[in-house]
Amino acid sequence: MFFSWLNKYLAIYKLSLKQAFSYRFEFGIWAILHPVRLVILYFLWSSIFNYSGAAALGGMTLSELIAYYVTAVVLDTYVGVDRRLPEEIYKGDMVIAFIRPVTVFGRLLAHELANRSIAFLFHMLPTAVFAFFFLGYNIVSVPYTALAMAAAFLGLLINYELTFIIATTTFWTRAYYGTSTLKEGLLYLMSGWLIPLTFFPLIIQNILKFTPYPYIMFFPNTIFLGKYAVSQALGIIAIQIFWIIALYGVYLTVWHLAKTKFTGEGV
Amino acid sequence: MEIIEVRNLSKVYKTFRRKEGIIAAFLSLFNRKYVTKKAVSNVNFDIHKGEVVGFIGPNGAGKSTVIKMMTGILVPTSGTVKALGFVPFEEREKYVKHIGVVFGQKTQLWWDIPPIDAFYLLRDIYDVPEKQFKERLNYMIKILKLKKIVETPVRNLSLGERMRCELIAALLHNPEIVFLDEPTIGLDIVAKEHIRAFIKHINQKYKTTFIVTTHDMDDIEELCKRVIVIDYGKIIYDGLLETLRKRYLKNKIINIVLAKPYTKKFVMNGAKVSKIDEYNISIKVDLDKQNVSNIIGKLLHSHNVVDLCIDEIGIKEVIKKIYGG
Repeated sequence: MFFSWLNKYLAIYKLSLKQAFSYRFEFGIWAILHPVRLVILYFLWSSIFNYSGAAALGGMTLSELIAYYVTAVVLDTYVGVDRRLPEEIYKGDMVIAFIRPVTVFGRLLAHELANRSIAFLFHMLPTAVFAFFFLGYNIVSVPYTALAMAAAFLGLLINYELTFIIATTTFWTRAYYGTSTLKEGLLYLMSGWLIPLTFFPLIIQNILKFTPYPYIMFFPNTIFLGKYAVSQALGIIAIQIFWIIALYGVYLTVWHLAKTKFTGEGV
Repeated sequence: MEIIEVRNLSKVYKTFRRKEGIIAAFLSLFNRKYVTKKAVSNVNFDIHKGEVVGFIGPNGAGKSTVIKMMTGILVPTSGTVKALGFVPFEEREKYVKHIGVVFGQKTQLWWDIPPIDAFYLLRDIYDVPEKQFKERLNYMIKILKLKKIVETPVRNLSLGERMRCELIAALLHNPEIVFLDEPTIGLDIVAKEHIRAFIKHINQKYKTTFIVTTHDMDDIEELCKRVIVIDYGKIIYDGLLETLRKRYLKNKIINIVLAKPYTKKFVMNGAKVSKIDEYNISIKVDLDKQNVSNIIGKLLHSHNVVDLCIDEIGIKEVIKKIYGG
C-alpha cells in the first residue's frame, strides 16, 4: 500500500528529471547565473566594508558575510510551485489534475524535488566549488554541514508549503502576479536572503523567530556557518518539523475550500 | 445495471458583468455586479454498464458542466451524483482510478516528452500490473496505428495523432467508465474514423461504458444508441437516437426521373409534388398522413418511372430543429 503510493510519486519525480533535461539552454544559463550573482554580491559587500571601516557588520566579518551569501545563493529560495500552481489554475489544467489519482500537492512536490535534485548537482555544487576556489568558501566541519543540509531540506519543505498555500489563493483572485511579487519580497526580506537577520533590530529578530520565514534560509545558513552549538541546531530542526506539520494542516484546509470554489474554466 | 445515478443535479455559477469601455472596466474594480447563471438545473438520468451515450446540445448548454460533475472535478450546487458507488467529488482520488477522461481541448500528455513516457508514468500512477499494461498498450497502439508516433515529443505531434494518444492515456488503466468531451473536435475525416472505430472496439471488447459529448452528428450516429439532449441546462430528450429521429422526422422526399415529360398530374393525400423540369419531379411526403411505399406503388402504376431515390432527413436536420426551437 505504502510502496504503491510512493511509487506513484517516484514515477512523477523521475519523469520531471527527464523533462528538465530536455531544455539544454535553460540548463546552461542557470549554471552561469549563480557565480555571476555571487561576484556581484562579493564586490558590493567588499566596498561596504571598505567605506565603513568596521571589522564586523551585523555581527559578521566580511569573510563570514561572503560565506553567508554563497550559502544563500546555493540554497536559493525560489520554488517552482510559485509559477506552476497559479498557471495550472487559471489555464484550466486543474481539470486534468483532478482526474488523476494523485494529489496536486504531492505531484508538484515530486516535481519540485526533481528540479532541486538537478539544481543541487548541476548548479549548487558547481557554485560552491567556484566559491571555494575564488572566494575562500569552505565548510566549518562535516557534522555542521550534515546538520545544515538536513535543515536546508526541511527549509525547502516549509518554503514549498508556504508558497503552495499562498498560490492557492489564485482560485479566488484569478491573478497571481501581484501576490507573487509581494510574497517574494517578504520571503527575501524575512528569510534572510537579502541581508542576514542579525542586521535587524533585536525586537524584529525575535518577532521573526515566531514566523516560518527564518527557518527557510537564515537558520540553515547559519547552522552551516557553525554559529550554534549542536544542541541548538537540533532545536532549530525540531521547530522546522513543527512548522512543516502546522503548515500541512493549513494547506489541507485552504485546499479543501479552494476545490469547492473551482469552476473548471479554460475547458 | 446502473453505474451512474444522477438525481436533481444543479450547478450555479457566479460571474460578474461589466459594460464595455475602459471607464467601466476601472469602475468594476470597486463595484461589481454579480450575476448567477444556472448552468445545469434539475437534471436526472441513469447510465447503464456497457452503454455508449451521446450528450448533445448547443454550445453553453451545460453538457461539459454535467460531465465535470460526474468526473468529480466540479462540486454540484445541489443534487447528487453517484457513480460506481462513489460520490465523485468527495472520494475523488479513489473514484478517478476507475474512470478515464479525455477533454478535446486540453491535453493530459506532457508537452516536452514523448507519449510513451507519459504512458509509463500513468502505469505507475494508476498502479497497472505490467502484463496487463503491455497487453493493452500494444493492442491500442496497433488499432490506432501509432507505432512510431508514440516516441515523438508531444509538441511535434499533429492534432489527430495527439488525440489518439490522449485516448490511449485515458484507457490504459482499463477504466469502467470513459468520458469523452468533444474527442473529435478539429480532426479530419480519417482521424475521426480512426477514433470512432477505436471506441467501438473498446466498447465491445471490454464492455467499457462511454459518455461522449460532441457537435459532430456523425459521431453520434455511428457510436450512440442512446442520446441525451441538453439545452439551457435542462434535459430535453433522453432516449434512443432512432426515436428522436422519428419524432422530428415528419417528411421524406422522393426524387423521381420519368421516361416521358411530366404532364399527367399525380394527386394523392399527403403527397406534395413539385416539378423540377420536364422529366424530374420531387414529392414531399407527409409521414403523418401517408407512407412512402403507398405513394411509390401508385406512382409506378400511373407514370413511367425510370429512376427514383428517397432522401431521408439526417440527424443533422433533426438537431437543427431542436436547437432552433
